[in-house]
Amino acid sequence: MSEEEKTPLITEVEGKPESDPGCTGGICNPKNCIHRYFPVLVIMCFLSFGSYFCYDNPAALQDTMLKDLNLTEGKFMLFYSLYSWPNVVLCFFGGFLIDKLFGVRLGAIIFSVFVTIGQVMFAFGALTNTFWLMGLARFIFGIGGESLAVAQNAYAVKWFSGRELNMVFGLQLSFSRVGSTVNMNIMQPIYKLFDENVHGYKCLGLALFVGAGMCLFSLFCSLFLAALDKRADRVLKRSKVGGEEIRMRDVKDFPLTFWLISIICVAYYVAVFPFVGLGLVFFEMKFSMSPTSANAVNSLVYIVSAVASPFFGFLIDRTGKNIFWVIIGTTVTLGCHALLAFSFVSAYVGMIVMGLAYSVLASALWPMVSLIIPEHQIGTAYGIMQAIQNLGLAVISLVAGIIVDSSGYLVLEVFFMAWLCLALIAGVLLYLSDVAKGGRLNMGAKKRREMVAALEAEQQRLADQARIATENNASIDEKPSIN
Amino acid sequence: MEERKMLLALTLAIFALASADVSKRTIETVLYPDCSRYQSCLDRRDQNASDPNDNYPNLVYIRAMAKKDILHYVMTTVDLPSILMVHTTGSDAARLNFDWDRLLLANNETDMADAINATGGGDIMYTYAVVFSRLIEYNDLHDSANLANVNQSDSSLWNITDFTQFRWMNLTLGQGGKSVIFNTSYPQPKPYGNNTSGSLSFEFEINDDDGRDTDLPRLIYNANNTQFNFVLDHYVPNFNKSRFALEMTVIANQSSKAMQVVETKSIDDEFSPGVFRVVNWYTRGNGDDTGYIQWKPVCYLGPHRARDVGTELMYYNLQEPTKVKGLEGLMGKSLARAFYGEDLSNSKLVAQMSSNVSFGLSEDGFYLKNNYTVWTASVGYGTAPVEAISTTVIIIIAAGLGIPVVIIIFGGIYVCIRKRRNGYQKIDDGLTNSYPNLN
Repeated sequence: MSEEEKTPLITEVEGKPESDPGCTGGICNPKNCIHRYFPVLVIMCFLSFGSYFCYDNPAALQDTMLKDLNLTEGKFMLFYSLYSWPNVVLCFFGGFLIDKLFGVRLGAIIFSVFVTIGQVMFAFGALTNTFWLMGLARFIFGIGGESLAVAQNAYAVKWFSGRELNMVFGLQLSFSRVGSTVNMNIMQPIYKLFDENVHGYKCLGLALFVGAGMCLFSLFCSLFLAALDKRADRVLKRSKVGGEEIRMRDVKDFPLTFWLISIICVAYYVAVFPFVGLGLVFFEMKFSMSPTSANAVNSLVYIVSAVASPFFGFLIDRTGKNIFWVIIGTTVTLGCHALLAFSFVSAYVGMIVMGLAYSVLASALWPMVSLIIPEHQIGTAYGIMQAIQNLGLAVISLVAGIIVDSSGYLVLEVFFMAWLCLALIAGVLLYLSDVAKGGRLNMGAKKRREMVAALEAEQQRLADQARIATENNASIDEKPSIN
Repeated sequence: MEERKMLLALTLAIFALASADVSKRTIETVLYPDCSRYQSCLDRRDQNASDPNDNYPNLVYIRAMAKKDILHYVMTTVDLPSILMVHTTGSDAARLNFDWDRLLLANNETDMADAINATGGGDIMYTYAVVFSRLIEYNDLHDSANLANVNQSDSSLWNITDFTQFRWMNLTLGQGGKSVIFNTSYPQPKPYGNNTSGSLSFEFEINDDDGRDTDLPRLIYNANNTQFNFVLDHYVPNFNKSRFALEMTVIANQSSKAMQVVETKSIDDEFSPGVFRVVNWYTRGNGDDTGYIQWKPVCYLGPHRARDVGTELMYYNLQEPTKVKGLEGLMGKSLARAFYGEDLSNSKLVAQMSSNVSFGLSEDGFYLKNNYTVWTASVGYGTAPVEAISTTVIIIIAAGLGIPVVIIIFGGIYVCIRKRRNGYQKIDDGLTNSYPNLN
């Protein structure tokens, strides 16, 4: 793989690694695999914890928010649309800026700052009951949030590409779910706690500052991770390969396989997320569930995926064959939708299996990008993917609402199934076009490891040659006696 | 031979249907029938509308006529809001007569018995009535939205008003006599002062042909049924966690066959999004000569009906009115008594069953959240309308799933053929060349 992607486990870098004074143990040594898991992976997971936690603050406090701020449902929904609609474009630029200007370290820090400032403003807006400020705050929060996710992906690729990348993506997905679940469960108790002393919108503001605290924590994570990353670059002599700057027009040269992956991404996600958004009434009415159990069933997809996705990620790392996993995930989800739509079989079955299928797909899909896009373009690529996904989700959520109100859930389910079929077709096309290009995406794990090793050995050889050449040149210039 | 048998069976089936189910009827509406012959009726009918104590003896007599039979409907708010249906053979002169003195001047000595009679030829084929007896309001402390979960013995949780305590306004007639609205403000004296704008109403829509309602839950209607809406519009509740329920009783002239409530499920909710069930309360089994009340278990919390203001409607087991506290006495003052007379207490001639429907689902914010509830059902005779998956939906399913499946199958075949031809050799050759090298 590439020079800067190189992590120390597999290839030995020539020359002595520098070690920081006072910390030379396994955990501190970037060459050690323990270091890669702890602290790097742990911190990486917490990088966007704050943003996922705060994203759903309004939902967790919906009733109190409507009451304390005297909002209509429409105004309340603005808190979400001000986040999602700008990100149809913004996270593409976020990804591009990571590649072009900031680099992943600075990028992650900058976006974390946006997230934190956004949440602080949001809390302050609630504290002073200023609606426009809260709206603006959500917009700023959105600028940071989605692009931070892109930065997180880029970090993951940088540290784990060619090794446990599927598992890491699974784990990140899992953490995003944990973040929003924790939020859903603790915001109300926190609000009630403050409510003993302060009431109304002031209490709401204080509760939201707790969210800002989480963002601050994630900001520290981004700083710490940047320090670790910089140190690793120095110690491992990971250096930026010169002359490979991304330009905007490079996007059009992204391979067909990338666009197919993007299509799968949007076509699959629109069949899951908007469905969950409209699921509550469906489960209550079709399966005669109480609102409590309907809510439980509805959130099963997220809960199951939070638990299952690291395991599936691990499994995919072991087996390779990402495209097959993607196709399996899509097909199984299609089956679940069919079960929910055309039968009265317990909704628990459909939703649990859908959660598993979603975990498989998410863990297998996102890492594929790193196999076909060079690292200096990876931020842009993930930015594009996320932007397309955001566009799809925003539009399809609206359309799904219209469909269900005019034609009911059966037609809505058929609509979702049609999207899944599209994802399936894109999956098959992806397989075909990948095969035509050499089958890198669907390679088995063993073969992939061999390829990675071979490539790295080759690059190592080239790099060594280059280094020796420069050193020779230097020795000629300065005429030291011994090389 | 076999074919002829089938044809015969089919013809018989069509005849059998024709006897009960007619697709087109002529509607004739009469307000206060026979009123001019009774001073008691005229006094009440022509009272000063601005009188705050106005209580009109609303009564509408509708004949829905076809060639061979007539459906007579009587809708009234005299004492209890009710609807009576009498099915007679098709003599044009067949009609019901009304004795207003009996209806309005009933006291302890004389009662309503036999105030309504059928005359003018035409055999009575079947009769049944639906009587709405009480409005039940309860304090749903635990947000269970289920009458059975509320402490029956704690009277502080209940506020039950029978409809005789309401004062009814002069009815509104619309759509060329095909829609009737009975509206009341509040029980008298008004407990919350006269300036409340809330109301409770029963709206009937008589159908003369087939179709489907344009309003949710978009019930199917036909010439043999009539739809009604029960509306609680800004009705001031007694508790913060108030929910409402409606008590109703069905009476039919039969003895042998039992009434039953049958619920059917469907995967298709295209006409009423989010509602997958249809409930039929049959007076004598699922057939083509039964009376029925049909509804979908949904009610709406706003006048603009939509999925997001829909909430559940719950119904309960059928009970004999004699076993329900306080109900038997009320039935003695109802339209049922006026028509069935002494037969009402003779279970060999007249069957009666009562039940409640309650509005709401836990976590929907109680009545107070929207201050509005509307429930729609249809009352009819003959075969209850059956919901079926529409052609449109079948086409959507076929197109939405069929086309992609065809593409996938053919794509799969194409891949297999290609693989056979090329084998894997070429693929391996291209291993490191075809993708851009990562840096």
